[in-house]
Amino acid sequence: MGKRIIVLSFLAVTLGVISGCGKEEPKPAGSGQTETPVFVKSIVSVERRNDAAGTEALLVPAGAVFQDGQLSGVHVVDKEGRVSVRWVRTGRPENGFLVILGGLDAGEKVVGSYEKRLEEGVQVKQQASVPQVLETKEVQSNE
Amino acid sequence: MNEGIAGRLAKQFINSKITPLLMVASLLVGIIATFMTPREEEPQIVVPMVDIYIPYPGAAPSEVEERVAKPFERSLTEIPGVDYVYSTSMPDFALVTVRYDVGEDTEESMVKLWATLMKNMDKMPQGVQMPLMKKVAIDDVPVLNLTMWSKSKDPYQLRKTAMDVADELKKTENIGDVEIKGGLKRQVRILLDKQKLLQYNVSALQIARQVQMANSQMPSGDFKQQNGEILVRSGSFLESASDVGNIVVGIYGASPVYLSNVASIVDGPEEVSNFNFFGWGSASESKDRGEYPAVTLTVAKRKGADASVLAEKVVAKVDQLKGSVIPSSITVTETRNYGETATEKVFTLLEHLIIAIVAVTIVVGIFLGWRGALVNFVSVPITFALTLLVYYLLDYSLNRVTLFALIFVTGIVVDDSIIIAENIHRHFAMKRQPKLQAAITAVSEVGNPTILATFTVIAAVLPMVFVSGLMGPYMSPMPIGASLAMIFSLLIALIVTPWLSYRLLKVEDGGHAEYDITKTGYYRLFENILSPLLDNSFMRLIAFAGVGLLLAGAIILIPLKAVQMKMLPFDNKNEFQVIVDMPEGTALEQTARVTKEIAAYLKTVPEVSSYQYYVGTSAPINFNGLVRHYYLRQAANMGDIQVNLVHKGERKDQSHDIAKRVRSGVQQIALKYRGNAKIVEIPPGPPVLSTIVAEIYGPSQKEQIALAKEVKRVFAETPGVVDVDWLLEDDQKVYNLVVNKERAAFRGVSTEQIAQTLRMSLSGMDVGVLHADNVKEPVMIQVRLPQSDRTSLRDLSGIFVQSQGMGSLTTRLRAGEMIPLSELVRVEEKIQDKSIYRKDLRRVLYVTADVAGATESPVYAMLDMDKKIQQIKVPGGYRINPLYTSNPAVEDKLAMKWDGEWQITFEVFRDLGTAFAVVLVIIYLLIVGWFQSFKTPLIMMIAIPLSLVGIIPGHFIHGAFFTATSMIGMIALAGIMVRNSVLLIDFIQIRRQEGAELKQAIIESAAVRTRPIILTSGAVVIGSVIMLFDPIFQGLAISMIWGGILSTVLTLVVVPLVYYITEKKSEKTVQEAKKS
Repeated sequence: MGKRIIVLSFLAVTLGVISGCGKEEPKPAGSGQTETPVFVKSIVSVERRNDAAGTEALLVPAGAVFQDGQLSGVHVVDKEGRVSVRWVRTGRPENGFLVILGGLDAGEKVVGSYEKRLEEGVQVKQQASVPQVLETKEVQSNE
Repeated sequence: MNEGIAGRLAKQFINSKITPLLMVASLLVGIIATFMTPREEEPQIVVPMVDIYIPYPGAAPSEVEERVAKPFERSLTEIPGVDYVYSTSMPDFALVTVRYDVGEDTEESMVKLWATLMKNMDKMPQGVQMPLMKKVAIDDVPVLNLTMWSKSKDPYQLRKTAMDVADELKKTENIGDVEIKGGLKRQVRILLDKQKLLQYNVSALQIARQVQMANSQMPSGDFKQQNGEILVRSGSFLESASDVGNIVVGIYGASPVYLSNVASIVDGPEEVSNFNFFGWGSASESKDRGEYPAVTLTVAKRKGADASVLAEKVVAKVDQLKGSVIPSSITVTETRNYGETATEKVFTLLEHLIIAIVAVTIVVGIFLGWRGALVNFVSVPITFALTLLVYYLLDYSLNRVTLFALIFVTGIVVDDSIIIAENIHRHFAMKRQPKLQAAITAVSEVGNPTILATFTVIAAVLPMVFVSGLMGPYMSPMPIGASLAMIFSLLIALIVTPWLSYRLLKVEDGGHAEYDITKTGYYRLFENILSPLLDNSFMRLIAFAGVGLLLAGAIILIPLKAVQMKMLPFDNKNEFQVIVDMPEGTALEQTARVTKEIAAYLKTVPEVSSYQYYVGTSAPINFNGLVRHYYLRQAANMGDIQVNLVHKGERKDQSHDIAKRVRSGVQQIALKYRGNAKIVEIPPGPPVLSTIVAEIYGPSQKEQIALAKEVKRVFAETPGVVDVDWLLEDDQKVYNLVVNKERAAFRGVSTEQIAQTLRMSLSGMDVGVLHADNVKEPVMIQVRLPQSDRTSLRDLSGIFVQSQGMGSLTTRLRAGEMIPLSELVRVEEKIQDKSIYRKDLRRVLYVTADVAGATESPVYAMLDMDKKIQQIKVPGGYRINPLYTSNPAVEDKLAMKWDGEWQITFEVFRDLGTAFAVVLVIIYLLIVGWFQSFKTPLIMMIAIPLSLVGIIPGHFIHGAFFTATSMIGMIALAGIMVRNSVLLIDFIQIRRQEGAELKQAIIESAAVRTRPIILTSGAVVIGSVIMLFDPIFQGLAISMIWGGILSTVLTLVVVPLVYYITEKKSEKTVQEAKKS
């Protein structure tokens, strides 16, 4: 009898610990907001294009790049739609776009126009299903 | 009975008034010494290492090697005391590292080194610049890191604030170097506009020259006038960006061209050169999951200063500065505090000491009653007080090594007091003599063997002083501390213990029967066990065979790998580091991105409290990084992540287990980007390049690389071998701009001009300092092209150089004409030359790895890999037999040597083994001296191997490694076990002299001596139990506990038996002589 109680309480404790662990399990940052994704004007992919002079370069819309002191950054959107800050090195502007010298790969998704309210780990969605490139161009022309 | 030294001492002090005064005084000085001794984390190890940087701008590695590194190395090996010479020949410079024999005087070595360098400077080729010599010292390791981070301030503002704080902190007493890691410096940037330069006909070189010339001021002398002197000063310094902008750099038409006409001038942060961020981990209280720009302020201490006092002072000072110098938007987080950890270690030790003393007291109390226990309880702290005093006087600091020495001796210093107190207690109980007389007799009886026994223990530990190499300084406090503690404990046992016993122990009143040994329980026990064995030679044989089997069984566990050998296990630290190496040629931002992704993964590890990452600049170094040259990790393709864990009391897993757990996750991320990430833990012992290092020697770099590739593959295939890497750069693309000499000459342009213009345009050139008020760091004025204008070869075409005209070989050209660079140079694309490593005058290539998981000990992994390495096919068809202890004999064949932790393991176990052999001889000599017999000492030393019966299975039971500390435990145990035998046999001989028959004397003495032997061994065992939970001292504890128990039990049976066998014959003759 006594033994059984010990076994049971042991089980209880273990279960408790395990379930406790589950609760404490690190959630990806910012997952609290998972349910309500933030809508952004556009999400565009980083393009590899020939620039004016004919050399290959990575381009993002100029509006996607923000400045934090001396650091230039963009908001990268990962596969799950989560935002993270990426520091980049920018080159010359090319009609509404900026050449990216380091920090991004072609094909990566970035938030098309920088929004200050976006925080690391927030889930984002594009506002409307307007074709991406058009959208960007609109943004550019608005400025 | 002959009183001997012991008896006389006891007689002197037993009733002296000076004894209690001595006790109080010793305690007091001990307590004062404890507080006066500086506390720090790492022992004061003089790393006998000097780095020499020899710049040779423009030279390729092979040229640097041939012209600079080789001649220097050759001359350096001439200096006596130089142990190893390493060199790395990189493009443009050589780094030569000289390692001295441990213990060499640093200053003297530096002077010798400098003299040798100077002697050879005339042999250096043209272009070699003045060498820079840097001593690598343990006090360069910061004791306190303060990371300042902010949600609203940028790296530039952070660095400025950090500069102000550093300035204030420098005023603190005993502070060493204060450094700032990360952030961006203030700089006046002159960003050239290529079009405008061409338009105004101004060249970059011209601008540099003009700025340099404009930025000068000088006292010109004085006028003497009417009995007075008026000073004359001329020129002025550039004080602001507008001053710089107003410099006239040329004349265009008839009007001056100001610098601001052809360039934009920015006074502000320099171009981004590093990324330094701070973030909280899962285990922190903060729910904030973002990461913020940070700079880290590192504070080192002055040699001999107390780390904890300094850290406290600095932290208090920083608190004061909050609100004034440090705005509320900047948070200051302590990311390293060795002062605190040092204090914690000291208090843990004191706690351990007290627990050990109390535990021992309780054991003594069980056998001797509370009065006997009290005697010990008082005498032990006095011993420690005196030992601490000696540490203080010998200029030791309280660090993890000296503390280890103190914990180590806890078990053995109580012994002398126990033996004396126990014997006095026994004599009081026997009531054969009046009280005072009984006490003195008791001391005389065991005093002399105790003195001998103490010296055997000292003889056992003292040879450890002779461990050489980097491990030496880690070991030496132990034998020194332990020997001194033993001597003090002996003096106290002979002076204080009798005094205390005489007053505290009671002679029980009442008519006890005359004391009779044969009626005690011990006697009956030994009668039952020993008698049949003594009488029956067959039984005796079985007993010996049994013991022999046990011993063989224990030893066989080692070849069976049931107990593995390892030098030192990992400590349970509150931090570890991740080193990210991207392929050479990776952009800073890309490295930052990978590092950030790894950091984001580490953040989710439940034990991580905070992390900082440093990209493009090195993380604050620790002792390990100091030896591994991590402070040179400042390239764009390198990142360091400093991971802080929650305090070890608040987590279940040890830091090593956490490191093992996260390793694969971290490496996967790095691998995704073709990078390499290593988990670096702080080693408990001397740091090495890497745990496993394969040095590859060979006739040419190409063959070396080919073999290294194979070896690397073998490494990667072997289970348990992790973090495989090599010290070989990846291919990096280089554009070599070859100057067309003829064309340049015709155009009146020199090669130097082109080189300088290019350098200025691309990497920028500092042309002076801004003489502004109130700046803590020099503000450089830099000329450079803006970033967007220097991204490709095409951009270079827009760069112009100015024709010199006059110097040109043709007169058709007028001076000052702007000529595009593209006209003068041809582009060659190639791969950057690889650095050349040399060790002890041989070319070498290092393949490095760590061990974790399947095997934790490098030796086994190495033996495993040996077979596979032997199968590697090399051109020439010979076999590669990895070398273990010697350098390859010939250089025209490929060869491999193991290095890393193995080298130190080999040296330590070799030296400890030699020490142990010497110990055995010294102990033998000591006992021969005492017993005047060649045979008896051998009997006593039988106990030494018997301890193995306990030690090895003990490690097996605990699943622990047999480490260097286990070995130390074994050596110390040898002394303790011989002491037990000495006490046993001494008593047998006394009884025999008194006329007892051999067998009777043996059983009686076993019975009488069992109690003190069990008590002293019990003290060792109980005193060690507390160490079982410490990862490093575990081996020592296991040796002491299991070895102690088993060999005590076996000693009590085996030693009397062997003694009986050897003395049987002489006993017969004695008996016959008696009869006749």
